[in-house]
Amino acid sequence: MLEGINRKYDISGIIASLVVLAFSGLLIYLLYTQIPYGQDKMLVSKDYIKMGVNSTGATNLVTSVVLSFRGLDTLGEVTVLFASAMAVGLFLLPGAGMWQREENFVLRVASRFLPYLIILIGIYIVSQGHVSPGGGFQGGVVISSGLLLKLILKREKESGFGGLVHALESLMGAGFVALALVGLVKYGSFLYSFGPKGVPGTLLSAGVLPVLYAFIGVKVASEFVAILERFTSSGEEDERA
Amino acid sequence: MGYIYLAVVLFTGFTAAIAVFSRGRVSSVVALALASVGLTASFYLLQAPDVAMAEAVISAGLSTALFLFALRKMGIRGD
Repeated sequence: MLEGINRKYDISGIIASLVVLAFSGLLIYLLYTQIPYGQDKMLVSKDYIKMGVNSTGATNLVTSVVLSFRGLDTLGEVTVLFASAMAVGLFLLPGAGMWQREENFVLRVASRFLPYLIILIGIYIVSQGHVSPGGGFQGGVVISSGLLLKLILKREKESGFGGLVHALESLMGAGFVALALVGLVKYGSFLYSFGPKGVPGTLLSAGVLPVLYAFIGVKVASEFVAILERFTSSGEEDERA
Repeated sequence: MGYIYLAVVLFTGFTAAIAVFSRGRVSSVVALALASVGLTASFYLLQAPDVAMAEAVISAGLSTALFLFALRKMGIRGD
């Protein structure tokens, strides 16, 4: 059914690509003519750069923006992720029958020790998020990709991670909002970064930010494990195919 | 840095074109993963290691796996 789609160059496709080309050309033209090169017009970013380390204690400036200055956007981001995980759970039913295929030797041997190494790297990325590049989102995805190896091999036993994943996800989301509300109640602003600042650049610094990033890391990991679990199980779709 | 960056941009564009115009679904997905590897390199060269990390992990790793699982669910295997 989909085979002929590359062959057909109908008129609407040409019009659509012309519109896209014209619009992107306009954007590039405006970018090069309207904005002077090398000098930004943003005022708030200068403030972030100037007082980021002092007011949050995080040497990774991106983290101080993501979790403290613009933390509300991060809450929205987490909500979007939650909604998409929920939509996947809605549309892909958990299957009773699992992969119908012989076990791969390379996969079986690798999945004995490789997942734990990958999860270790993920924990490292999450825990160093306020010091060096990384953080909860990236580390959480790394952790979930480590668990994916386990997930592929686990299918015939039908155990999966099931309820634990959803419990962790809800718990971490509630913890994130609770810490944000503590900042609102005690210090007057949502997601205020309170707690001992410590020495910037060390692991135990930046007050509450590492805790928030740990919450986000576990939440992202469990959400993606839930999504991958639905994708790797063979649900009703496979019976029809 | 100029020539390295130019090479990275050309690589990204080339693999993206393969991803769009390739006939096989699986090879298209693999080309998309390669394109996002090129994007990761260019983010790193533009001094945004945070974004580079997210791009590498999410786009090159996880979404490729999701695409492959989705193709498998649709009954399309490698060709």
